[in-house]
Amino acid sequence: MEPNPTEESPVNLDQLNQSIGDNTSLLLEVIDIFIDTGPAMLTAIRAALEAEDAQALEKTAHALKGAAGNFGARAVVRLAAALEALGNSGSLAGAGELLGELEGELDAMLAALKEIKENIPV
Amino acid sequence: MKVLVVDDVTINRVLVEQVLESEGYTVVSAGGGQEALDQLAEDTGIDVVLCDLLMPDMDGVDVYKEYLRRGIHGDQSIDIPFILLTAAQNIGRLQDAKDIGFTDILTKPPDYERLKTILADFAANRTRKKLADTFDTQLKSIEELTTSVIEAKDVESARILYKALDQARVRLRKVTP
Repeated sequence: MEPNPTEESPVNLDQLNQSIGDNTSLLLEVIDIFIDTGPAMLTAIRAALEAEDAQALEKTAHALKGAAGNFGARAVVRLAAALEALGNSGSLAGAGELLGELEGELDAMLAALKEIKENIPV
Repeated sequence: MKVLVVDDVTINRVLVEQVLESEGYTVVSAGGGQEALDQLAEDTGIDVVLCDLLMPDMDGVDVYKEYLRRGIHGDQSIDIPFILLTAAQNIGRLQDAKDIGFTDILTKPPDYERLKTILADFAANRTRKKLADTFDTQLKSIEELTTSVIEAKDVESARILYKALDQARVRLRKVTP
């Protein structure tokens, strides 16, 4: 229920709302799921990176990319996709910087989702 | 029509489940490949599988391969359509999915309209096939009856049965793709 979503917004719910037919209770449910599970997905990515486990990095980043994609979170999706690609290539060079950026973008995304949630009439 | 949704990410499962349930489908779900195979073994009512590619325990292509090997309740002749739903960029693995026989490959976040169309087509084909099977059974029994009437040299009954057989054939042609 973002009034004026732009490309710069951390999230864009146009496609999601269209898919679920502006079903606010379902929207609230999936926002809650993401708020609950998103940080754990990031933790899993960080753990994979610390363990230098490229395959785990690919899978964990892939999961976050897919989950965030539902909310049109372009920056999170882009960074998670970049980490996934690194994991797939087996080379983790530059992954630390990407993870730093991803943390910031995920925070912004979660804040935006919380704000949207508060503005949804119950 | 019953759809099995396989995805390790809860949010993806919930969204697909809800969208499809609102369209009138019965939806069951699995959080991983092994769980999906277990459900396929237990539940013969599943008509179509919507499967993620990259999952922690086993990937979607391997799930389908294992399903083909085992079949439902060990019966490999029961072949249900598998649709791949993925955010994967691994072109090689997507090609594997096409080669092995996934009927459709959709990217995430899913184009729900396309998904609904694909499922509606499956449902229509399934109904058509069921009708055709029913007619086929009817045709066979009329044919058998006709043979026995001819053998009994009952010309009038044979004529009536031939007419019924013709009509059934016409109806069968209308519903068979």
